[in-house]
Amino acid sequence: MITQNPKKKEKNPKDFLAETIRKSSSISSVNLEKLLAACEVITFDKNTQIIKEGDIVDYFYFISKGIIRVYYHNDGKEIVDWFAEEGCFFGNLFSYIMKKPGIDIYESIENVTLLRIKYTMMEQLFKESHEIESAALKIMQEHYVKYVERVHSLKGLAAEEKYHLFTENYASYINRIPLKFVADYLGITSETLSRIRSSKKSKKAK
Amino acid sequence: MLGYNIFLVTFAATEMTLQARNLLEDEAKDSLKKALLKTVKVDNTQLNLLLDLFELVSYKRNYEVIKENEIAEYFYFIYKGIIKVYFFKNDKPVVERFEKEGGFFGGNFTHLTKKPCTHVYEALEDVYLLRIKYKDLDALCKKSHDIERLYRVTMEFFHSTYAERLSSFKSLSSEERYHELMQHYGDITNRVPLKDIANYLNMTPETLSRVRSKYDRY
Repeated sequence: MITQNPKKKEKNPKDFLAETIRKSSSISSVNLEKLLAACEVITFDKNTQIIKEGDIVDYFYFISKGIIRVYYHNDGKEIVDWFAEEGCFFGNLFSYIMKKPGIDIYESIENVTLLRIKYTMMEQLFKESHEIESAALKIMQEHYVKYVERVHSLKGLAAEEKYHLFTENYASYINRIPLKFVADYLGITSETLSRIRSSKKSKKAK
Repeated sequence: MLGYNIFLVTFAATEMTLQARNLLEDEAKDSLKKALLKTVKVDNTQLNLLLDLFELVSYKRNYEVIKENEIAEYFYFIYKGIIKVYFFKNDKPVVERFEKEGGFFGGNFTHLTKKPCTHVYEALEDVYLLRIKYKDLDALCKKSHDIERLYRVTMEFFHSTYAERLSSFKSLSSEERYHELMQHYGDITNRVPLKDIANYLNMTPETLSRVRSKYDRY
């Protein structure tokens, strides 16, 4: 299940995480190092369930490379909640806070390189360092803003508008996400999606 | 309880005395304190520093507490009343959620992003709110690790619960969505116009009334 890094040259995961944290907060190097030291690099093949249905999660993750699909099952259908890409954090926070098994599945769409940290370790660092906790709060707020933009904004939209918004929100990743997952995310059939896409193309051609 | 209700009406209708206002503010802060302590333990002295920064405000029904395109300056706790959170899509209002007693709202972090608020936060009843300036909250968080923790945990709790509900909504039938509403908010159907509830549940008023009559029979 755990594989070697993909051949393609990629950013060093810890450097990438450091850069991402620095973008949101003015954390000191000492504390940043402490945080990075507590993280471990882990890679998974494409189509691996990193968090399974019913798991009570232990880890919080950062995506250094690859895309994760977050979904759950309902009446034999897969409902896609969101996609997490490079630079995103994930971990089933709800399951962690409530100490309840989560229903969401976090599955890699591509080979992924992740950093992970144990929640208990993270809590320990928060306790020890106000600065680390403060950085976490900032990151969480940014994540929340993004989530609101991506998820809520789909409410009340027609299929065409949803697709349009999707292409804006996931602009740099759109070609890496299989269309059937896009259809699941938008809550439409693959046929409707392909109709929308072709009518969009023909509009562009004109 | 009756006397108390009359008092609230008086407060909304006229200028209240300073003393009465302070009394109500204390009660509201007690209720906020209870809500905050649900998620995390905090030292009393620290918590009081936070509570001191909150002030009581009241608005009439239909007042827009946070307007579209505004950069919200305050974070709010609802002591009494219901707030409707909505936005416009193609000139049509879309109801995103409701917040009632014990709930928080604050304009989706426009104070951080500096992007104008896309949502409107409107009072559906006369409301009594406690508000704190983000500027003051951030300054206190810098000074007090305890308060920063409280803020983070409260935020995470709110966000993860909300995300969980929103995600489950995606796969529910109209009956199930109505059931979820009743579970989550309690019966707010006599406090919120049905057209707003229908909008929130993404169904026509006709479907809503069909669903309700079926639901009430059980």
